[in-house]
Amino acid sequence: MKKIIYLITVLSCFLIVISCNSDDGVEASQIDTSTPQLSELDVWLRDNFVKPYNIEIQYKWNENEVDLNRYLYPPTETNVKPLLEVVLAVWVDPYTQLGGKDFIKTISPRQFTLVGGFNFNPSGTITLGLAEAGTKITLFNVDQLDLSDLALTRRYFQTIQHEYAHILNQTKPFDPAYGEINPENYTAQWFNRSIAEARELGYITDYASSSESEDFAEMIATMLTTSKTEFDAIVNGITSTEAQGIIRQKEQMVVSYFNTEFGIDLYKLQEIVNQNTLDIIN
Amino acid sequence: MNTKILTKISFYLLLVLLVVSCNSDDDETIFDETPSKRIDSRISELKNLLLASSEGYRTVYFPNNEKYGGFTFFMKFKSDGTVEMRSDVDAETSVTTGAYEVGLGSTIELTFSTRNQIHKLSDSNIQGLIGTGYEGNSNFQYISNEDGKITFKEPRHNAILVFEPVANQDNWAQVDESLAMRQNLVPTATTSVFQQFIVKTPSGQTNYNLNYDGLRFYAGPRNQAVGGVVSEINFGIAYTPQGLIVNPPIELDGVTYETFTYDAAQNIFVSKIGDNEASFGFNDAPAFITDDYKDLGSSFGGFVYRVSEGVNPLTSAGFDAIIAQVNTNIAGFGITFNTLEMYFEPNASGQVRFWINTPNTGNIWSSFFFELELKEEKMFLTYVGPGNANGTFLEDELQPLLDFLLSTDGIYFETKGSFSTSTTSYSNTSGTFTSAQNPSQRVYGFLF
Repeated sequence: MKKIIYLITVLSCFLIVISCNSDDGVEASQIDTSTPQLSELDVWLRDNFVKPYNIEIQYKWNENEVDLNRYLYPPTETNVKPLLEVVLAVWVDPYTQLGGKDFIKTISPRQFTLVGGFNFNPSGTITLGLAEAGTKITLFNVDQLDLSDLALTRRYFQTIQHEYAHILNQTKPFDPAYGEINPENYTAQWFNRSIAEARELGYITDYASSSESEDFAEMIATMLTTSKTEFDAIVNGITSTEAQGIIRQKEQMVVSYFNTEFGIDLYKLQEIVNQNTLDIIN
Repeated sequence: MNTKILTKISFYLLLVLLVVSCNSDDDETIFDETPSKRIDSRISELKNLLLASSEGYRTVYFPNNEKYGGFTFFMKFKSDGTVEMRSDVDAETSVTTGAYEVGLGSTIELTFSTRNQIHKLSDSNIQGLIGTGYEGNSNFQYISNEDGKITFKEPRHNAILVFEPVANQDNWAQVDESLAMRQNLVPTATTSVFQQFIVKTPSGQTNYNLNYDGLRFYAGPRNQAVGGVVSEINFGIAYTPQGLIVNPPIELDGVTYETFTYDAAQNIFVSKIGDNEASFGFNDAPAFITDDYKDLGSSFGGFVYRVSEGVNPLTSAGFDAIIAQVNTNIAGFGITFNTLEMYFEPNASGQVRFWINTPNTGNIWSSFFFELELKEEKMFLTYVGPGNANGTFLEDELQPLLDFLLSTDGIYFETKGSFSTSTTSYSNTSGTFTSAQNPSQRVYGFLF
């Protein structure tokens, strides 16, 4: 018996040794790893987004990055840089100024996908932007952006502020008490409501009346696309004093969320974003 | 004993099978190179092909031939990753430049990666085609190369695109010619509202109503034989400088029609295959007349056309011109045309009375008496005279409208489902009346 074990051991050793018979060495990769052709825009993107903030800007068409059930197209190349300069001015710079230079780098989407055309939903509404899993923001209508139109530009950048608010929430959740302020009128059919109607119910926009997380994001986005005076005028313009009170309460919660979680004064942030937006339009 | 033999045979058989099954075929080489190298070489093959035609390529792209027509594109690929394009999708036919990429998707694909002419087909924001546009795509799978002609497949609707090398850049101007060709199927104030698809074979002729959709560039000709059998053909249209091509090709009785040439003299598009001919364009009469006219005065007591109830394209530009003329005639009285009401049930003296309202602040109704006859599958009216004082007073001014009603060749009538316009919808059945004497004149309204 011992002999058999001995034999097996010798045989195994032999097999192990001959199996180590030298093959060809590892060769260079067969996959093409050379740097792709970079346009002037690509170089600018690397310098302004990839290197400082680790954010990839995907402006070239990749069907896997968008909903295959929608009919969309890539943006016009010349519209990409002007749009992104505004992204820097109204989103990256203000947060960097107040939150520190690594704020955006630490908490930010890793990828922006830019789409030229309209994204129509079956309900007839238009989706301006999407945030996925806190890592990716898709912006639609890039080709329709007119930077000389304040209302349109603000509406557009409300999308970024809104989606970024979601990303902040995914990093630091907001107080669940927010959703208990006036949950009774949240509805999936929010688009049947006008903005004015929503405000009378205590929601800052029609979309805010869809759910508590959208409500929270819309509060932030609305504040960051208006000046303090304009925001106050919106709230004071609401007929129902109860609704006014609700919105003021939400405003307080959003402000304290920024203060406690990130040490950022939201009113100061609002001021910088507003000033930078006005600078671009003029 | 038998079992033993059988066992033996089985054993040897198994042995033989075992031995031959071990026959090695591993040394057969199917591919010379590794997958990554083969992918790379196919990518460079396509890149080189795209650059091979110095004046670029021409292709006709039918994004979805079950719903839409096709469009012509001229493209010139450059080694810096950009591509110049012209197309006849819309009036902006001048050259645009965008990026393109060749890479591996589900197979080797050509992607138009930044906006260019071709993306007009995937624009969801076209009025009437909201959410879909023409269902176009941005990436195309490389299939084959035959003498410099490159074939691609669009993955969503399986559209086939063939890129044909262009000899001369001057040819690119053809997009303006094909765009102009499109106008030959668009109704104007003077063209007939009837468009037919006519097939002539040695054994006879079949007429179809064309049912052309000028937004989708799609036709669905329908034919209704005497027995009530309905047959329908569907095809998309792509205009060319000489005429048009249809996709899918029309197959009738073993004959395939694909290329149609424009005959300017007759204002029709014709395709001749041997003794067979298919053609379409404007015609003086519909391909078939339904029995709807029999319901006038029985199922339908009356008809109303009211300007204030919104617009429906079934009211033709030719009829709008009549109303414009009436309005010019009565402008001096400070009134405008609003309503035409027809009542088909005769009074005691066998006459019908129609009313026309030309209000200012209040209604001003003029009435007229006619004798009505249903014959030759049409409605014929004979004028009797004014039916009230307003009718007598405004008879001359309203004459263009009376002339329409008094068409010497009669009036075609057809029902059109429930009533709907740009601003109004009723559950009432709607219908059209078309002058047979001047078939550019058609009015749409509701019946009751």
